[in-house]
Amino acid sequence: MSLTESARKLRRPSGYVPALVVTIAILLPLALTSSWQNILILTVIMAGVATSWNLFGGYTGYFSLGHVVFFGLGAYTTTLLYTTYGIPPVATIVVGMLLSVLASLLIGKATLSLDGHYFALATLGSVIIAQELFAYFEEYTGGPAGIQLAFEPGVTTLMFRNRVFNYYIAVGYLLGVLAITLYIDNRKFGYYLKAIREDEDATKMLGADTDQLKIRAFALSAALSSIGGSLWITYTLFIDPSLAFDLFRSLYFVLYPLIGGLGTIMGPVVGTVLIDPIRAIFSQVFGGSVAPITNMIYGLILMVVVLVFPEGIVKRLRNTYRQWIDRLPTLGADEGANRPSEEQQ
Amino acid sequence: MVDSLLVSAIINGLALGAIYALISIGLNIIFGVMDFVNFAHGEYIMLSMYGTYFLYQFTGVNPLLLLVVMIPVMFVVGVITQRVVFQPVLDAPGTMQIFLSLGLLLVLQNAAQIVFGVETRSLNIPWASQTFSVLGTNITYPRVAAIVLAVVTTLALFGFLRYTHLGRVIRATAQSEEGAELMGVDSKRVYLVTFGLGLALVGVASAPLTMIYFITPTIGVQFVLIAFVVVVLGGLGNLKGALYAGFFIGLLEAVVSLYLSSEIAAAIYFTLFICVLYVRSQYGALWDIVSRPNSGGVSR
Amino acid sequence: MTNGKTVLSVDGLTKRFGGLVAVDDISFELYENELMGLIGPNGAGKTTLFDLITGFHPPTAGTVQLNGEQLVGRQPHEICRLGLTRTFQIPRPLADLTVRENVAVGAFNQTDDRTEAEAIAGEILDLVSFDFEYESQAEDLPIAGKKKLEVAKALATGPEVLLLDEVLAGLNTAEVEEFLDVIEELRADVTVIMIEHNLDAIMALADRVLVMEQGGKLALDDPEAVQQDPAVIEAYIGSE
Repeated sequence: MSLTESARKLRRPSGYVPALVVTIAILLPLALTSSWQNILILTVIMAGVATSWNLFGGYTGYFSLGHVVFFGLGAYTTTLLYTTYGIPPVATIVVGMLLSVLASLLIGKATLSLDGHYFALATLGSVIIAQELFAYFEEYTGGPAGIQLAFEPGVTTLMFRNRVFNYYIAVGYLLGVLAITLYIDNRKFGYYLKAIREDEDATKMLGADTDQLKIRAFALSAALSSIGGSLWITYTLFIDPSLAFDLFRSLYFVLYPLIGGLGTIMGPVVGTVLIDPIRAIFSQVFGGSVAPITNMIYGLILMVVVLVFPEGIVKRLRNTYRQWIDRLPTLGADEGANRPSEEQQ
Repeated sequence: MVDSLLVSAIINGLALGAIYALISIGLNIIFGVMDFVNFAHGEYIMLSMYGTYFLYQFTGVNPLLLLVVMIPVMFVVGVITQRVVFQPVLDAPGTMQIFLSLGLLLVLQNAAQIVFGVETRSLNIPWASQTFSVLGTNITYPRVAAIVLAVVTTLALFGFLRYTHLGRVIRATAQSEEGAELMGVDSKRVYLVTFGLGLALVGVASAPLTMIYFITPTIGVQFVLIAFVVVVLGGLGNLKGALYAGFFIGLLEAVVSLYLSSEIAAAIYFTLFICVLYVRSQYGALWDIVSRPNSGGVSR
Repeated sequence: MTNGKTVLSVDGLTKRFGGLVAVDDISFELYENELMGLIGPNGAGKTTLFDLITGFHPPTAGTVQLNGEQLVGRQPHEICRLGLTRTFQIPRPLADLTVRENVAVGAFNQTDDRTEAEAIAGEILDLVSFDFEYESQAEDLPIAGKKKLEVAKALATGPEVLLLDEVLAGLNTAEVEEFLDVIEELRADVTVIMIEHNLDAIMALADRVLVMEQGGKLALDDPEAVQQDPAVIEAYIGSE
């Protein structure tokens, strides 16, 4: 694309609005106080894992309630390799991904042939199993007492004095997962996954090896979720089984894409950004023990979403967004503001 | 020495199993008839425990006698819940129902936390710590009550479903909603009654549970998960199976706790749970359908 | 119409569900470019036969060969890759996708490239004279559209043998006429077995007709002979 074409695209609202959003996202942390930065970082990481979940759960319609297992595995792998062997966290990310893939193959083999609610139950069960196993084998995992990671700022440890860097790494992670989602969405793999969600038997009859497709998507999603866990722990620096394998967190990984729109690319991000900060903001503004109130609100939101717009926000508002966008002015109205677009947006 | 510890573990394991069977009966009915996974089931257990607790505080009446109040109350709560929350999504895909019940779980558990606070409560009933001696072990009164209730309730429910008209209607609807409707049954009504019944059964469990456990707002989650394990192991909709499965899990947990630890017991029976689900999905034709229905459009 | 080369060979295919025999020792040969009608009263086992051939249920006994390749024991997607596919009695559109995307999913059986798949999808939709917007949501289609979509999806996989399950059910006379024209055109490239209750259509189109009753083969002959077969008449009248 030539420079003038790019410029022309950017001048139209459908071009400059996203560009504006991205710019704000990049500059935002610099304008915030430390505690707001904290909320931002954790939200972005959550968005990344939610998008990873969506790649499997939203696309295939198999609602894994146990994705936190992969998140926790990533976190524990990073923790244990770093504290026991001094391996820089950056390197541990790949190991975490590998272990998560292995775990996903195991869990997937056992659960992917199960019907909808049994699948959900079984994946929930895997969270309990993970929690208990890590609590039981204390000598290896630090058990319920937990492990405190030593804070050693540096690029390879992914720990920074200035949080802004944690933020950029988290954003990088999110963008990476989004890019992968976008890539898959436009290809055979993505089409097949969505077809599985719509009607698995019909899809088989069209030549798709659904068992293999599901396992692949599950493994990919697990690996990506694991990265989120590694990034999370190098930021929060304390881990124990109940934190790493938090059942509620696992539900949120499903809740956010549900609210934002399952199987859409931006849905999980929208859902996370809308809801996740609520919890943090509440406790910031009202003080420590508001967890029950925010959780209750989450529950109400969830119920409302299911009863009122199960297809999620992105799909509901997609047309509204487009209309609104088209009404914005095109910049530099001297040329072609009224020219019908030749390029498809 | 070890022997008597083991015997003690076995006896208490049976009592534990009875409790597990009791909490899963209600779920079994709901899941079996309506094919509906209610994750909030445990929260109702928790609420009924609070109910029994406060009733006892106000009246000083034996919780087992309080069942006369608790059971109808829970039945009504069940009917209301079904009508208000779940009936609207009867035709929605199962996963939506799951999310709805998860939302309900969050709402109920946290509302309880706000209203009752996080502190642990327990019923201190002097005569409840009276023990009976069985095979050289002491077993407390509430635990005996649990065993008795579990068996009696299961048999009563079994009889109800087998021999009463309403019971037959429920079973017919469970087998085929359309079939039952063709015979003039209002399936929505049936579901209201079934859900009410399911929670009424939760009410039955509340008496022994309140006398044995510490009551906190968060106790619901562990109960619901165990209940699902029991229901699946025993066979969906299979009442006697659930009873045996409950005892089995209780024994397993007691014995494993004796020799290893109680946390690992949970890991063990969940693994068992997943294994059973998997095995059934591969050879599902004979058992209740746990795997994805292979609806290749088999015409009849 | 057909050069007599056997494309599909079914031998002794049987399926028992517990004590019930759904398909009872069915055998036949399907010739290239033939259109075979499959008729019989409700519950005769026709759709079950399709389920067996396409791998959705394992048969209790018997074999199926497609151009010499054994199909029994294979998964549906493998069978599709080998060149045999089917439509479902009740159409199963991929609801949340557009019409073109639906057909593209089928077309991916022939290619890995998305642009190519969508191009094939467009061609197939043209081929079946699809009268609705290609970019519309599949779930918004009327019944005639969904039925056509069902066929289009299957065709996009590039099959040699196509099993159609009551594609004409629920269509009005005009729609049926149109559909029959489409099927007539398909015959040049595909061999077809059609389950139908619309006997006029079958008798007009089919080269041969297989009649099933209570799982078993009642007759297999050309349309005129079948129409006059006393056992067939008996079966139909007896079941009405």
